This record gives sequence, C-alpha cells and structure tokens, in this order.
Amino acid sequence: MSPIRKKDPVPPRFAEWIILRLAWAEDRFSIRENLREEYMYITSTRGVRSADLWYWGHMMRSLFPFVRLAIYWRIVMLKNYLKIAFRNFYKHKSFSFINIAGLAIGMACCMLILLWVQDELNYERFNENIDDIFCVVIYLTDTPNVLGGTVPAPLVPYLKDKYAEIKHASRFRGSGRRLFVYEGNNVFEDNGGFADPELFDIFSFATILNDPKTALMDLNTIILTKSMAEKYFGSEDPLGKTIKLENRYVFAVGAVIEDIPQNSSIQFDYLIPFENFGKFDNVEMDNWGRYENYSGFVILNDNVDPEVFSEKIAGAIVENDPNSNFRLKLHLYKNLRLFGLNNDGTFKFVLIFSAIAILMLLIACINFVNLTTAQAGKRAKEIGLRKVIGASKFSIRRQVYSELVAIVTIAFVLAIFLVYLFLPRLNALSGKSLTLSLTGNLGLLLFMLGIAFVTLIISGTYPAFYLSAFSPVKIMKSPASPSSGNSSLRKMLVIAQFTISIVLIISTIVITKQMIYIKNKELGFDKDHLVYIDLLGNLKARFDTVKNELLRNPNVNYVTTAQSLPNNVSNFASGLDWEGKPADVEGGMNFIAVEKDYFDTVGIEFLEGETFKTVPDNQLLREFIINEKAIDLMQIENPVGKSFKMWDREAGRIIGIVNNVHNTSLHQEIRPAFYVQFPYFYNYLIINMKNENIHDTMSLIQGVFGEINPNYPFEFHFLDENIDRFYQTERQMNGIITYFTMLAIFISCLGLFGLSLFMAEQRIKEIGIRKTLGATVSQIVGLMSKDFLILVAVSNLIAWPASYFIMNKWLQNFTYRIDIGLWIFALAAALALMIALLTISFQTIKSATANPVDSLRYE
Amino acid sequence: MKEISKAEEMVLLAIWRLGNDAYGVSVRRQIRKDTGKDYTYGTLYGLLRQMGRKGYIQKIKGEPLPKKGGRGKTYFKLTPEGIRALKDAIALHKRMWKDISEFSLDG
Repeated sequence: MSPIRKKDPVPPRFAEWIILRLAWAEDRFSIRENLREEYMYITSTRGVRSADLWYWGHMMRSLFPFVRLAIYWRIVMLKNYLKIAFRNFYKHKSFSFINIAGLAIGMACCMLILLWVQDELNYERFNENIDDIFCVVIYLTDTPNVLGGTVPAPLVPYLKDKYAEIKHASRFRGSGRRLFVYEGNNVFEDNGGFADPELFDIFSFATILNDPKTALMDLNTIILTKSMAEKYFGSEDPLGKTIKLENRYVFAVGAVIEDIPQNSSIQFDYLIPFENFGKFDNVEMDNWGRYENYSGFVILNDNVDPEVFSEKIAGAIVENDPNSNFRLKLHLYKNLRLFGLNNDGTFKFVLIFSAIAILMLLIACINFVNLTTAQAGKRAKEIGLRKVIGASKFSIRRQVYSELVAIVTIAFVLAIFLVYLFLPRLNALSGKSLTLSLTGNLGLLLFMLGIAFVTLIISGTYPAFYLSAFSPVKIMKSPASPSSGNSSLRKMLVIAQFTISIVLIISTIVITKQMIYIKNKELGFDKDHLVYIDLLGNLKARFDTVKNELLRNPNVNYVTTAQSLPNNVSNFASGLDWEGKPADVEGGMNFIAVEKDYFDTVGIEFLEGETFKTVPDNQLLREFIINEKAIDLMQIENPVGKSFKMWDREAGRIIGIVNNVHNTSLHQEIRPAFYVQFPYFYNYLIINMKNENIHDTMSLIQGVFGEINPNYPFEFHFLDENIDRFYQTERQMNGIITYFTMLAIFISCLGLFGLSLFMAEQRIKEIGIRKTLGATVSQIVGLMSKDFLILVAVSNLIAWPASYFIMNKWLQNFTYRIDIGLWIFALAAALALMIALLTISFQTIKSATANPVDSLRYE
Repeated sequence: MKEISKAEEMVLLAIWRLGNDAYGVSVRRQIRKDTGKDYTYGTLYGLLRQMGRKGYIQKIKGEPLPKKGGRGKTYFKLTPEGIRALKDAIALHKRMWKDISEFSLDG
C-alpha cells in the first residue's frame, strides 16, 4: 500500500458531473465511488493522463445506457403525473375551466395578432429584387425631410435616358374609375394601373400567359390579372380579345398575370401602357410642371452606390423646369408600408398590437399563477407525501410543468380552433384576407409553438418553485391548516391584470370618442346633403344641360362641378405669383378648380366679395378666390382686387375671400388654398339636395344621367361616406382594439371569478359562524367584496396616469382632437368596479345566502 | 418461470464468485476476467438495479470510510431467489445441449 497522499487525484470534474446528472439518485454515489476507485488505480499504474482518458471514454460509453434508463423512468413518472393531473382537472372543474379558457383565449388573441403582424411585416417581400427597388421621391428645397411620392410624367424616361446607372425604370399610376365595355356589358373597374413595360423587371408579378413586358410595349394592349380575365372571358382564351375602355379606346388583351399578391402596395386588376394616361385624362404627358400622382420606380446597376446616385439626380426636375422648388431623392421601396415616406406607415400599429398581444397572454398567465398558488393548499398533502417517499425538488417541479403541459396543450388546440373561428371577423375588421395554414407556414407554426412554450414558462415557473419548496414536515404536522399561498403576490398580480384592463378600457373610450368627434365635427361645409357623381362620358361637355335639368326639381338645391371633393383638396400648384408677394415666400398653394355655384352647393361662405362672374376659360384665368388661411401665407393686406398669377397664364385678380373649411383630414391643419374656374380639371358633379324624397331625387338624377350617358352604369356617392374613408385606418384600429379590450377584461374576470371561488371555499366556515351569530347577507357580501374592490381601486390609480400618457400621445396625431376629460377616467373606473363586482357577486351572494348548517355541520 | 438473460447470468455468477467482496469495481473486473466483456457502470448498474427489483440480489451497505463524507461501499449478495435463478439457468443450459457436442455442430 502506498502511503496516503496529501491529495487524491480527482477525476475530470466535468465528466464526473455528467455522470452524476445522468445516474439515478439511488445508485448515483456508488457509481461515482466505484469510478473514482478505478480511476485512482489507473492513475497509480499508468499515470494521470491515461486515467483521465479512460474516465472520459468510460463516461461516453455509459451515456447510452444511462440515458435510456433515465428516459424510461421519466416516462413512468410522467404517466403518473398526468394521471394525477387529470384527476385534479376533474375534481376542480371550475378552476380547470378558468385556466384552460383563459389560456386558450390569451393564446388565440396572440396568434391572431401575430397573423396580422406577420402580414404587415411581409409586405412587398414577395419581390425578388426587394432590396434594390427605389422610389423616386420629391421634396421642397426648404423642407428636405418631408417627402412626396409623385413626380412629373417625363421625369422617369428622362432619368433612364440620361443615366446609365439605372438598370430598370418604370412609372406607375393608379387608373381610377374606368368604364369597361365588353359584349354589350358596361362595368366600372376601379382598380387598374398605367405603367411602363419595365415594371415587370422591377416587381416580381408572376406571369400566366405571354410575357407582360413585351406585351406592354404595344400601346393598344391591356394586361389582365387572372381573376379579371376569368371575369370577362370565363374559360375562353383571353389573348387577343378586345375590350373597349371609356366607350372609346379599344385594347387587346396581351398577357395574363397572376393576381397581385395581397401584400403588395402596388395593386391593380389590369394594366395599360403608361402613355395612354394622357389620352384618357387629357393631360400633356410632356409637362414638367404637373404632378398627377405618377410614381417612379428604379433599380440601379449592381455597382452603383444608391446614396451617391441619389444626390446626382437631385436637380433633375430643375434641369427641365427652372422655376421648380422640387428636388429629387431615391427612397428604398422595401419599408414603404411600415414606415411610409414620412414615418407615417403601419409600424406603430405593429408595435401597439404586439404590445396588446403580449399583455393578453400575460393576463392569462397571471390567472394560472394565481389559481395554482391559491390552490396549493389542496395539493400540499400530495406534495408532502411525494417528498416523504423520496421525490426531489426537481421532480416536484417536473410534475408542475407536466401538468401545465397538459393544460397548455389543451388550451393550444382550443386556441387554434378559436383562431379559425375568429379569423373572418379579424379580416372584416382589418380589411385583410389572412388565412391560417399551419403546414404552409412553418415560421408561423414555430412561432405559435413558441407562444405556447413562453406561456408554459411564464405561468409555470413561479408555481413550480413555490410548490416544490414545501417542507413535508410542516405539511404533515398540521394538516388542518393548508397553506394558501403567498397572498400579497397574488394581490399584486390581480392589480397588474386590472391595470392592463383599465388602460385598455380608457384607450378604447378615448379612441371611440375621437372617432365620433371626427365624424360629427363641423367641417365648415354641408356634408350631409351632398351627393357626387364622377364626371364621366358626356357629363362634362353637356354640364349646363344637366344642371338645368336637375335644377327643375324642387328637391335639388344646387348643382355644381369641381376638380376634387371639398374634404380633400390635394392638388398643389407651385410657381404662383401675386401682387405684393414677399421675396422669401414660396409661391406654392393647394388649389381646387370649381364652377361658380360650388360655394353655394357645398355651403362655403364668403367673407368678402362674391363668386365668379366671368365665363370660364382654360386659358384665361381672370378670377381667383382664396380662403382665410391663404391670406396668412400670402402675407398681404386687403387681398381683394390684387393681381394673382398661376403658372404661365396671364395674371388675373383676387375677387373674394371665403371662410376656412377642413379641406384635408383632421390629422392636419386646414390648408391655405385658392379656388379658380378651370373646366379642364373638373372631375365631379356635386349635387346639394333636400333631405326629403331622396329616393325620388335619386331616380330623377339617374334619369338625367341616363339620357346624357346611355352607356354608363349609374353610380353615385354620398360625401359623408367619402369623408369616413379618410379615417379608415383609425376605424379599423378602433374596432380591433375594442374587441381585444373586451377579451382582456373577460380573461381578467375569469381570474377574478376563480379567486372569489377560492376565497369563498376558504372562508366557508367563517361565513357560517358569522351567519349563525346574526350577520346579514349584505354584510357578508360586503365583507367578501371589500378586498377585491380595494385591488381594483388601486389598479385604477396606476392605470390613470399610464393611459393618460399613452392616449395623449396618440391624440397628438390629430391636429383637431378631443380633450381627455376626467369623466373618461371616472367612467372607466366605474366600469371596472362594476364588472369586478358583478364577477365576484356570483360567488359572494351564493356563499352569503348559503345555509350555515351545511358549512358547519361537520365541525 | 422466466429465464434470466445472458447478461444477468454473467452478473449473478460474478457476484456469486466474489462472495463477500462483490461491489461495483470488483464485479466489473470479475466479469471482464470471466468473459472478456468490458461493461460500463451504466450498463452494470442498470442490470444490478433491474435484478434488485426482481429480488435476485440484495444490497448491503458497507462500513463508512474513515474520511470526511466517506460513504461506505455498497456490496451485493445473491438472495435465495438469485441462486435458484442461476440453478434454473444451468439446468436449462444442460437440457438445451443434451446429446450435442461441440463437434457434432460441424457435421
């Protein structure tokens, strides 16, 4: 025997640790001792190095038998856990229901929002060149950060010719409403486009028949999407078939492409060569001063630095239109949907909705934590016994997690079912067409499983540690007083839940209120009596006849025609000049071309002067009328009578001033604008009619319309509907948030209901004794409600400043907005208290009215 | 009656041979000496545990070692059921090989 050394050689720590982790508890230490003994023996005979080597080798070879056994026993235990879990579900049906329902709803909301978010994030991503596509955008020299997406028509071909750096370039313009005539059928198509052939080099639209790029080179060609081709030609071969547009121009179908993916910002059902736009709308296509909503897209050659090139083309408009204040820039197309040109995209909604999704899930998880820890007393004996017969902390935690896995799995399946159920509703609210296809969308599936896993971790961890820390001795010694868990933590969690709910309630109220405000806001003009018709076919040429015909009816007050609708004066004219114009003022303003009766029809009042008196003329612009805002911009006094000059036309005079009306959305200030008679621009026939006999009036209008435009289908619109469309995004948001608020409150109430159920069970004897001693039902209800109501009150205090902060920020988006009144907070508080009270009243009243004999008879 | 497997037979025999000195290291060494098979402790203890549950062997705690935290070795001993299992195994073996010699297999 060698003498005892000061320090025994120790086997490799890590290898030993692995063996200890893998071995079952019973033989763990024997195995370690045996290995150490052999290790020492090998050390003494062959040295430390070979002993280490041997140890590692042995560990590796042991892995398989160890793991096999470990898995075997885990499964045996899992079976037991699940059996106990299902017995518990069954025993505490209401608690299990609350847990599962809460988690299912929470997860379903999460998934729905996730689908929405995924769709937003996937915008434009189908394009193969997505990282290389740029929009050509403009900005004014003095506001370089405010970008606009519309460029003059000749710009894009000019750039393409001049710069070799550009690989592909195309213009695009949405076509607006057009009349399609095919085999005697007259149909309006609203969703078309004008584009250059290279559009198909830039965007990845899938081809079905023929090459759309070559087809588009022929000016008399139309390209249809698949559903459009089916609509007109059914199963026939559409190639070469002709359609008549606007009753005048004949186009032959040159190619068919797949429908444009829904997540494309550029949308069209048909496409016509760009140059036709001039013919359709009487616009000179070589005019550098006209901004008619044309957008330009380019892809640069591989070796070109976009930033450098962007600066190179900055002056391209000035090169052709020397007086222009517009400069050019390239803007990456990729993030247009999310961030917009001026940070006005949907990204903020993505953030808000993601936050809501997380909060919803959190609320559901809190329910689980609360109910499980509250229920802990009931499970204490089982856990104590497990520990006594040798269960470790780990195995108790494993048990908690396995029970939760069972719950989450059931909830997950339910959640997917709920998603299928509510997806159509979300689609209706958001105007998307989302689908849930788990097999086709691997990322989504993984993400959903991720949601389930996160749920598992959030809701399981605290209960697992809490339950596994029970001391078996304590539990076994005093079986009469099972611990009911950490009630202060539970209180905090309930407060958190209700805080979230109240913030959502307040937000919903504020958003709804603002929406109502917008709907009812006096816009300065008479939106309720106005009907408008697109100025199609012969309407424009024979306007005077139409007007006289219509005015014969006593129900028609006024008839007029105008370039745009009063709520959306977006046309902009630069290069204006007027008498007394300061040198530092940009001569640019919004304008609207109107007929002389426009002001009476729409209800705009004159502050000075009166309406146009001269005969309208496209060349001679003699008379101008400005709004109050324009006076500030023009910086002149007594404008009436001063001269005013538009573009290269001869100067005219300002003949009147009208009051400000909201000529853009309420997000923005009223714009300075001028009115001019300019028949060339007229687009709409606007009719002011009495509210009586609307039906008769409409059929009269239809009759007149039919005489003038026999081939056109008759369509009319109410102005207030058009105004509503301005706030579509907000309305969708409002709808979605309202729904999720209700669900959040519902889940919170589920949790509250569970807790009240638990409290009632716990205090059943106390209540029995109180009742026998003479307490009234109301006293007992009050006693039991008090605790919960305090929690809700505290939540209110936290939620108020939080929601004030958030909503104040949101309202900043609107130039015209409501005040967040105190009553909103009061209303939210009252709502929350009432809902909470109602929820717990089921339980409190039940236990307060129960016969004390039942609860006390076993004592 | 259920037969024991070859591996179990080897472990049981090794324990029997070792008598009072059968613990992890010695059993492993004995098996290697008898059969040339190098069992890992994973496999060995798996078999031991399995046979402990069947009642063929029992564990005996040895004296604690005279050092800090020194646990005693765990010794293994055959139970009467274990011995009977071995006897059954040998009987089965004999029955199976009755009238057969090594050479007759070649014919």
